Amino acid sequence: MRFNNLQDLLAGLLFVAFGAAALWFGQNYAIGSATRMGPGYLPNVLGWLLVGLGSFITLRAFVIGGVPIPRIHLRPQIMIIAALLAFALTVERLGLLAAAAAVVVLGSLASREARPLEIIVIAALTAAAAVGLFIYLLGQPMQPWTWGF
Amino acid sequence: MDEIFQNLATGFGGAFTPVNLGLCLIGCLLGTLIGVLPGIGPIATIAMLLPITYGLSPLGALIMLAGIYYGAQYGGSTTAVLVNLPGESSSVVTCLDGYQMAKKGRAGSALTIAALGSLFAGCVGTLLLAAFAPILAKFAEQFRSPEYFALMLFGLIAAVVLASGSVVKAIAMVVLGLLFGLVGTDVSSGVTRYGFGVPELYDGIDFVPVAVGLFGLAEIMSNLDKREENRDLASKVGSLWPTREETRRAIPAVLRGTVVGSLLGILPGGGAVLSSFAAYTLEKKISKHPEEFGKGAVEGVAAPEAANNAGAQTSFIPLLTLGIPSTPVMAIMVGAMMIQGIAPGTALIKERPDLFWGIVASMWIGNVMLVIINLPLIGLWVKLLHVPYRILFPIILVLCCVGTYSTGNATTLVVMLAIFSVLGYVFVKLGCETAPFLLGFVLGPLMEENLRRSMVISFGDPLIFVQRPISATILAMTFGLVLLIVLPQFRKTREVAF
Repeated sequence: MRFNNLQDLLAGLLFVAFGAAALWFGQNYAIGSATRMGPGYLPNVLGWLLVGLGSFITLRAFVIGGVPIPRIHLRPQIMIIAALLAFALTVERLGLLAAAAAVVVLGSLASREARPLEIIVIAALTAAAAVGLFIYLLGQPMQPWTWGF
Repeated sequence: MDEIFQNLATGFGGAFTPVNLGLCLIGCLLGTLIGVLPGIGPIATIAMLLPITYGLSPLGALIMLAGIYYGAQYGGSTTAVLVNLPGESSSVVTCLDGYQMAKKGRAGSALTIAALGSLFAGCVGTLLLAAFAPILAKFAEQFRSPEYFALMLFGLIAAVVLASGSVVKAIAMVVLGLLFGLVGTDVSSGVTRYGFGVPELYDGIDFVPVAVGLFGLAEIMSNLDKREENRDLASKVGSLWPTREETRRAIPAVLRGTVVGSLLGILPGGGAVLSSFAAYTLEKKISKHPEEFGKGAVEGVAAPEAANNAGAQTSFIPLLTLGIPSTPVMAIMVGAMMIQGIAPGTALIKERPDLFWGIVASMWIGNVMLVIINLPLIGLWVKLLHVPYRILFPIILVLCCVGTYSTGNATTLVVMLAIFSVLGYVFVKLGCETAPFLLGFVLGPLMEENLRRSMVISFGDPLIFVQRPISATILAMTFGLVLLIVLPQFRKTREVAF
């Protein structure tokens, strides 16, 4: 039989990696005894459990068939992460108006059907609405407009 | 019985203030809006709208959040019937027959049956909540750490059984979630675990970025991977009135759906999604005309819609009586209650009757409001469906950012949001369910605390869990669930259901 279960193989390896990381970074936490469990007791148990389960899933991938991994496009991922980071960078330094507009502009580019004029209009409207809703109506402690570089 | 009515009177007194009625209406409207829009579910919505409730009274906040939740159930059915797209995961099965009815020009009738069926089921579910929650809470007063630990274990195993896809992967997701839940300062020893020198992690990973990232943004990202489909919008809603024949077939289906939904909603990990699947399967099995299913059978709309609403109401029972969230949505409710300074648990009903009965009363009011919002205003929601996704998702993105940021006014929260979006996207692509992860994440610290306490009581003897009758019973039920997974017969049904 041809190997066709990349999805499970990678998922299993991901679990093994997380389990191993939990064990590695948790190696200095005192394990204690069953009566007096230390901070390392549960992380240790769960870490090994995850390594075990992950290995099982990885090995099983060679035995049972799977479904192909759905297509991955990088553009939506990159643009959405960029939008989030832009918000984190600007919301305290430039204020909510700029941050919200930046999210709309960068986020819109995640879609292949983005249209420039449309983006500008939506960015302006959304930024204004966000300021009205969150700052004036809900009184969240954010600045609509500021300069903090 | 008298006591219930007296309590309900108190509850209606609390819920019938202009402010709380208004909040209920806003919650229902927002919920319907989100439910109608495909691509963002109630979990992410409630999580990102949490900051809106900070300034409200505890009762007002919970009324509004509950309104969003069951509003989304109603709204989801509109999209399912008209566009053949599930607005919410709980209305996936409604698509099957609802859209076929719409193609035959019976969209209006399908929507009415769904709305009235949901109203009926919602009322029954709420009545069950009012009748049984106080009894259950009284019973749960004898629960100690071993019982709580056993109960949470049961909940996690149930979440695994009910997750779609591979069981082993779901278990691994639970374990991973538990590990993420342990990040932060350990209460017993004061040691910081997995802090990596980041001060924001010392109090543990914040719930909101995890929920919004895994359930909101990851969903948007994978939606954008697909080409925007040409939405085949059923153009005419038609008459809202069902025919006599349709009514005759719908009523018993609604009754059966209500029973199925109410029962499954109480189960940990059950909730609205499973209820609707189970109700549909049941209808198809007992129907005299199983061949009509998938071609516009009235029962195929009535039963699942009733079931998902009943399940949505009764899933509040474990939360309000035991303080244990049984679904991801309930986990967010716990977060909302904590922010308001309310500890969910057995004492809630006794100590804050105003709050408990107020929520119960608001559910009735909300269900009635939803029928009014949904049926006469259907044209408005149809228009909303015409707005293209490329315009909607950037706006949702802004809401996610501001919502997450304002839970703690820290930009690190938004960075965490980015990290969990990527993680969630990877999980989606690798076929790993995120709901078990979130439940593990929320229950992790609670489970550890109760496990430790149990072990201190028993001097390290694990037999304590089987020596105490209640905890032994719960563990036996858990074991039964595990057996179910292993049994080949059940495996087959499970594969069919998902």
